[in-house]
Amino acid sequence: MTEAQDRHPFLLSTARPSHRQRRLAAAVLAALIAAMLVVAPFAHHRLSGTEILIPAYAAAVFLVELLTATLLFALFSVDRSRSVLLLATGYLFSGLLVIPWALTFPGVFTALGLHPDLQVTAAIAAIRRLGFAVFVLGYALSKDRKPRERIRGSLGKVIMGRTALVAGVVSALVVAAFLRADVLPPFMRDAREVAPLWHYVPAASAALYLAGLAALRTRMRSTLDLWLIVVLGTLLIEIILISYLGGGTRLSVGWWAGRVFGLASTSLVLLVLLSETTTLQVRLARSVRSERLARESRLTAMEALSASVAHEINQPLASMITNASAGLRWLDNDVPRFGEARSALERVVRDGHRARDVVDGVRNLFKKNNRERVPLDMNRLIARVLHRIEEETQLGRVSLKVDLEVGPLPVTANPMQMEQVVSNLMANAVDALSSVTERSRIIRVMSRSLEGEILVTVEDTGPGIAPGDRHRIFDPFFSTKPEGMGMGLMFSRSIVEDHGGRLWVSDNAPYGAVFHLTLPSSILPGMPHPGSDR
Amino acid sequence: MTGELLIAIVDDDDSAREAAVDLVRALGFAAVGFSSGTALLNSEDLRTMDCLIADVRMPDMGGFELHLALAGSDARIPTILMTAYPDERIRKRALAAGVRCFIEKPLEADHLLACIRSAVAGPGASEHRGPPGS
Repeated sequence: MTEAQDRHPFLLSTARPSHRQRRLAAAVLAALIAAMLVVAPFAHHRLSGTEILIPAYAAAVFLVELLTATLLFALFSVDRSRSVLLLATGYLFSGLLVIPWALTFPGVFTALGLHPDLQVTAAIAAIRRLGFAVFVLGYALSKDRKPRERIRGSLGKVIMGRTALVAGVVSALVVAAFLRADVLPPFMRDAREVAPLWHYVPAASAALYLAGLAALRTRMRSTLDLWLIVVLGTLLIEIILISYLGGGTRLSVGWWAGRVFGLASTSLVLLVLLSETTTLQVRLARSVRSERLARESRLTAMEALSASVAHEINQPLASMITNASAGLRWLDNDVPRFGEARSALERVVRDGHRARDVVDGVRNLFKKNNRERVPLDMNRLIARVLHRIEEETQLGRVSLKVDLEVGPLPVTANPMQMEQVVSNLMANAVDALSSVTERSRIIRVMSRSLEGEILVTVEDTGPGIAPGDRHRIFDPFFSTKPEGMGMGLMFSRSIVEDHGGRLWVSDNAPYGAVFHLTLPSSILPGMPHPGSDR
Repeated sequence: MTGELLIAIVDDDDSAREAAVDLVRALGFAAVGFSSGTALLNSEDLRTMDCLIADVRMPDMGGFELHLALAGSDARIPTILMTAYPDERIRKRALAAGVRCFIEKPLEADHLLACIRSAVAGPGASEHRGPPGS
């Protein structure tokens, strides 16, 4: 995980793409290639009179690219990375250039009295296509730079400045193309057919797309990277359809198909990015909430613990004072009673030791090594605990059903504490079953790898947890067991939450309780990351 | 020291009980410790006790419940309650129910002495009479 991913784990530019997203991206590209192959035999056919569709197409492209640029600027305002800003600029540049492209398209806006030079539209198209490819390539090459190159200062000013700059450059380019149409490269032979010089443009674009694809593929870290690959793939297919299969002839089947497929695909990418942003935001909100709950419950636990520590220390302290008073009284007698005074002092020493033991106990509870986390395989840890309690389950005539995830479950945790948690859950299950006589005593332990986290459940067929007790069983000093201290589940929950996971209980059907434990999964050296196909 | 007053001390905490017994002895009384109210109620020596000092917080039967049990029986012993967790409400209830003294832990020798003297002197008696047992 990079430093940026640590700081902002819930951004498009930092969140890792999920397995499902990768599949969706691959499906989109596959569909586009299939569509391209279907269209290929008819690509040369001309669809004359379809100029009237140009304004609708251009408006759609303009909107999609502007929305994408806005989304990326918003992303930049949190992420502050230069590369995201560059990409947003690229989308804005491309989106703004669509307007003059459509306005100058031969035979479209003639009613407005626009009769620009033949070469203007093609020049704008070339600048737009090559420019966008350069921006994406720039993003791919700069995105992994060190955070010290992040932009500081007023974000509003940066974004406004960037927008004004792009608008200025686009206007200047268009005005220059209009005024000096005589020096524009002769890309077009006529309003429909391209001149030989044009062929450099799709070739150069395709080369830039391929370079961008290669750069993104090797450095793919985020959801944004994944979908940019789809965008570049789409553009590549588009250029193949327009310039090669369609022969570069405007308004041919290939020309239209390339544009329409491209538009559909970029719209889809925008939708995915938007929905992904919302999903990430929900995850962020949830994590903030669980963090707050964890802090609150840790506070309650601390309060309970300090109350019990205060009690444990107060007792010997009070005895020490009473003993010392008694000792003084014995010495103050008309005839001092040294023997009695001595035994009172001996009790002071004894109580002093008792108070010290309490303090030592508390200190051990918060020993520094409790904070140490190492990469470990949750399945192996479960197996160790199961091995240890084997005898206990046999004695309790409990049958153990184990259903562990195939392959390792990597987490980063304190092994001692996590073993405590799992043993506590197992011991509770065994205890719960001790009163069961009329049905079989079964404990089922299951582990699974979910998206980004691992899940361990411990089910028993015991009497279950009464609905009124369900929220109290994690409270300090609450126990349903006659001998229970009421600390096990409280400590287990604070350990699990301290590790960024959750611990909760639900009903088991038809009898008993299920305890669920989740922990964030991590990557072990030399182990494949679950949910990743790399 | 014949004729000295016998004080019963009830506290579930061993070291606290031992300390209290010794302090009461150092103050010039005879003292016997019990680890619970039930142990005192079942004791053959119950009727020989001149005064009871009991902890308020104990499992099963607290000092106040013990006082009520004794008050309802024919063995009425003047009661002093002690606690490490003073609570004004409980203190008022206890004094209203006939408890002679409500004292805080850790026990303070002079105050304890005054309490025992007033308790054994009977209800309405002034706290300061002649020193007992001397």
